[in-house]
Amino acid sequence: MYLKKEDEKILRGEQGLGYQKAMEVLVAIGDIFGAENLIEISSSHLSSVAYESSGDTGIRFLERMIEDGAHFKVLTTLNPHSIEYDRWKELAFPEVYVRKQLRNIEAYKKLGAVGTFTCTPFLVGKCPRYGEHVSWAESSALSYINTVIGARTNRESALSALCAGLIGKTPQYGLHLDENRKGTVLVDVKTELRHGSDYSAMGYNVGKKVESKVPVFNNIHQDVRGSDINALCAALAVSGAVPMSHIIGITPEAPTLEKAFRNDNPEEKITFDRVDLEETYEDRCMKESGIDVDLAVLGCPHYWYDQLAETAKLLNGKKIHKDVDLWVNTSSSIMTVAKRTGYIDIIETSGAKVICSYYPAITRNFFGWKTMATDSTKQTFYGHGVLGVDVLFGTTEQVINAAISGKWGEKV
Amino acid sequence: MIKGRKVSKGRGAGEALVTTQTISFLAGVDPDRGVVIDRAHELSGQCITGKILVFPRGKGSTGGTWIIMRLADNKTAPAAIINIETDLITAIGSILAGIFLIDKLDEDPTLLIKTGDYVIVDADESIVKILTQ
Repeated sequence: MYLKKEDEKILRGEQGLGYQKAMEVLVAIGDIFGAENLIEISSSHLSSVAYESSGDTGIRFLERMIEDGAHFKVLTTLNPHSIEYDRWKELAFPEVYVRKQLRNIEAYKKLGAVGTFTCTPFLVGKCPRYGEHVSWAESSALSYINTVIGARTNRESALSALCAGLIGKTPQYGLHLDENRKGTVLVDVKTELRHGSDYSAMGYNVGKKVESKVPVFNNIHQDVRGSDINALCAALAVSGAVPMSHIIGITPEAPTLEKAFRNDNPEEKITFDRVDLEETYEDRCMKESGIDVDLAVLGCPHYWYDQLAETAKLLNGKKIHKDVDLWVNTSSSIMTVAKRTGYIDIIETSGAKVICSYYPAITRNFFGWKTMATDSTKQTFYGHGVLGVDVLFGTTEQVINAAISGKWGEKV
Repeated sequence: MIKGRKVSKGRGAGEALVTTQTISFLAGVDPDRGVVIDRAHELSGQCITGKILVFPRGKGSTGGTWIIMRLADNKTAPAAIINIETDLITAIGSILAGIFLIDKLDEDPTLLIKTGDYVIVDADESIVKILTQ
């Protein structure tokens, strides 16, 4: 990979060990993927800022970076992590663990990162433009900005995005180049999608089939909500490793099928129909109706205003079951405005909690939960795999009804 | 002696632990004990510490990079890694943790190398030597 003189100096360690390590990583990535050079980026977003993932090693690594004088060169934001930042005392997170997570976050902040603690940074003051090169981790967010905005990022890892943020550049390969953004698999949508969870189900089903290829969705309604596309992107990246999709008429690079495939033929054609949709709901439910639920999770990815409004409407005047925790996840920025609007008071009066920086599937099970209901296939995946609970997947209304009755599938 | 591609510099030797399955480090390997904890994996319950770990590539959450760095910090890491073709998670983890990593050998290492073989990885010279027991 070609390096400019200034980058070679960094690689030789002339700006300290921290920047040298970061440059070594970028050069290695460039060599592995055959990049010809580094390009400038305008922002980075970091995942895996959870103490649960990085442990004491993460704290030592970041504090050493600070000692070496490293600092982010571009706007760098942070994903949710292992504790509720503002309410950890009230929610009884173990204090020893909290102290570790706070020290980890403090190190990121000293390096210059912004404490967004959200998986939807594009909603809270950092939205890239069409064609802009960025380096984002968090599979749902990076897929969303590639798909809906036409910004350009690869599927970065927690640490490749960190190194890119420190240098302000990333190797030019993959989705930074036109030819790799072309669609490869045609997905013909042959069923009506009525709920946000339908998009989450479709993403999970299609992601398994297309793995890391670029799917092209045909016949999705032009008035689909942004939050539904967000759910679709999140699910595609969990069961597969899809870094971007084309949605005909919505993705800027895909006004027509011809444009999406760049005048080439699809390598593969698949359909998504009613049966696929129903099978996915069944597949993501580990238990039958009637089972007791003790955790209900909404907001994976973090909820938008319209989803909080819908949640408030469904919970208005209701009380959730005494043995159930209903946690609704969103970013602090969205929460502040939603509170002003009145949604949050309605939701919390029911006994539910609006959670703003913690992601209840990347951390150990502090609260002894056994069975979780959710409207997100991503949440079912990590809930079962990391939190270790049995999972139930349904519409937002079904999840809220389960939180009210304490049982899955029972109408209120 | 087989030629490959250097990903993470250095030279290591040890007993091989070989799998034809990809590895998810996050939630798949315990960084404190260096043991594979993914119950669905064929190496489930086996210790990777000090071994020459041979597998196709990494998969799963990119937080796996942190797990590789924790393995090195806890002195529970493999002595070196050989991949068929490495991935971002394993490559970056190995570089930052100082674990020697080589990939793209002339032959498929997961078939060529057997568990228990004594293997020398010289990433600096981009070569692997297998001394079958």
